[in-house]
Amino acid sequence: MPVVLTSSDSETFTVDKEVAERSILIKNMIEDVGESDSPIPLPNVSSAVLKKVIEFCDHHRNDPIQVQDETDDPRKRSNDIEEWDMKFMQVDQEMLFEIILAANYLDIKTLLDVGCTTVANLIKGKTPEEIRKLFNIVNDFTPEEEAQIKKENEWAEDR
Amino acid sequence: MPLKHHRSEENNVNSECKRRLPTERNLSSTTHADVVAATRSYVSPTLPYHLPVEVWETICSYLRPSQLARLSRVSKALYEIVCGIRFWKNWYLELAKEKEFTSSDLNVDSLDDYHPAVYMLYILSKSFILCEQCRKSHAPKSYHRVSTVPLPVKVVSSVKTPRQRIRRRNQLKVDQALLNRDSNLDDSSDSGDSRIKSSISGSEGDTQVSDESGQEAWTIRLCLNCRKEHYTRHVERYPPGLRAKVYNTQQMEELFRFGRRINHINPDGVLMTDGSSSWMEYSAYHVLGRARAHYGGDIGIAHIHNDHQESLEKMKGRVEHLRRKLPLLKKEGEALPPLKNLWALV
Repeated sequence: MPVVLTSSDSETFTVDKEVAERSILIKNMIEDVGESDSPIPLPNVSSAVLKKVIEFCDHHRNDPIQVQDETDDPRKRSNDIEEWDMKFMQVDQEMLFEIILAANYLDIKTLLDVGCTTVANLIKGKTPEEIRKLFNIVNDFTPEEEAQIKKENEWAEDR
Repeated sequence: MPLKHHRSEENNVNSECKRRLPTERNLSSTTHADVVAATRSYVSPTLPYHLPVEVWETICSYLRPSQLARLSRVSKALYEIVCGIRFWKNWYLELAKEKEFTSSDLNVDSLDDYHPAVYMLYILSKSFILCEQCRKSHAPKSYHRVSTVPLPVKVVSSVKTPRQRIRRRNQLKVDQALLNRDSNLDDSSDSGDSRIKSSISGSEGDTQVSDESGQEAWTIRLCLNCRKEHYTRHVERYPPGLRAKVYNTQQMEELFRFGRRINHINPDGVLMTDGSSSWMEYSAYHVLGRARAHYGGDIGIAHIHNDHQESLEKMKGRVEHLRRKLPLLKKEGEALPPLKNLWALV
C-alpha cells in the first residue's frame, strides 16, 4: 500500500510503503497510527529536499536495514562512499546540509551516514581557516587565544 | 507538532553518535557527554545551517585525530563539540590500560576531576608519539635506526571515481614494467639521480599538495607497522628518472642516504671484481623497493638520521604547559569550570 507524504510547503508525494519505511520516524508512525489513507505531514522538510530523500530511499529500498553498532568506530572504517551515493551528494552546500537535517529528523541512518561522511571528506586536509571559509564560520577567538590554541590543539607537528 | 521521535534508552547510552532531536535532550542523565551538552552555551547560531550538535558529533566520528584537532580550532562552538566527544576519554582509557599514559604524568590523581576537555588536551600534548591508525603510542626506539615513531604519510581522498581507479592501476603496471626492465640497457646520467634524491627527501611533511589527478592530499601520522601496511595497499610510485641501472655501495649512499645500512635491508646484490678489487652492485629499483618495505616508505627513509630529540623536547614542553593550565580546568565539586577557561591564556 502506498504512503502519502506532505512536505512543509504542502506538496504531496505518493511512495511505496517499503520506500517510506526507510525512515524510522515514518515507520514508527505507521505502526502507531495503523494503516491509513491520510497523508503524513512532514513540517520540517521542504518539497525540494523531500524529493531528494525519496530518491535516495527508492534507490536503497532493497538494502538490508543497518543495525546500529555503537562500539563500531567509524574512524577505523574507510570513508569510502558508493559511487551512486557520491553522485547523489553532489549538490550545493545548502542542499547538502538540508538533506542531513532531514535525514536526522526522519531518522534514516544510511542517508545521515552518507551525508556526514560527505561533510567529513570536505573537512579532511583543510586548515582551520579553510574550514571557516568552506562553511562560512566566523572565527570568534581573539588573536591571542587563537595563537595559544594553535599550540595546545595541534596534532603533533602538523604543517 | 503531531510527530514525536522515540528512541530506546539503550541506544542513547555512551553513544558518540547520538542523533536525538534537540528538543528532547535528556538533561537528567549524568553521563559526561550530557554534562557537557547541558553547559553548551557557544553551540548553535554560529554553526553552519544550524546543524544540531548530534550531527556534528557524527561528522566528527568520521575524522582522524589530527583532523579533529584542526576542527577544534575553527571556532568556540566547534572547540566545544570536538572536546566533548567521548572518543578522547575512550582513547585515554585504552592507553592507560596499556600503562602508556597516566594521570601522574600531569601530577594529578584522576583526570575525572577536571573538565572533560582535559582528555583531548592531554592526548594532543603527546600526539607526537601516537599513531592515528592503530592508536598505540610509539616512543622512538633504536632498532637498526628504523623510525618507529609515527611519521606524516600522504593520503589522498578515498572517494575515487572508477576512472581514477583505472588510471592508478595502469600506473602500477607501468612501474612494474620499469622494474622488470633489463638493468643493463640503461646509460648513466646524473640528472636523473638528483631528481630521485630530491623526490625522496622532499616527501616530508608538505600537507597541501595535489597528486596528478588533481585531488588534494593531506597527511596522517602512522607508526612503522601501519606505514608498511598502508604502503602495501597504496604502492608508492618510483621517482621520475629513476634508472634501472646498478649502483655500487658508495653510489647507493649518495642516492638513498642509507648507504652502509644497505645490509639491513638484505638486498640481492651481485659481487663484481676487476682482478685487484671486488665490490657489490645493486639494482636501484630493487634496493629502493626493499628499503621502502623496511623503513616504511620514503618518509621512513627520509627519517633514518632523525633521533627526534627536538620533537620529544617539544612534547615535554606541551605536557608541562597543560600542567600549568590544569587549575583552570578543575571542577568545583560536580560543576564544570566556565568554558572560557578552555581557551584562557596561560
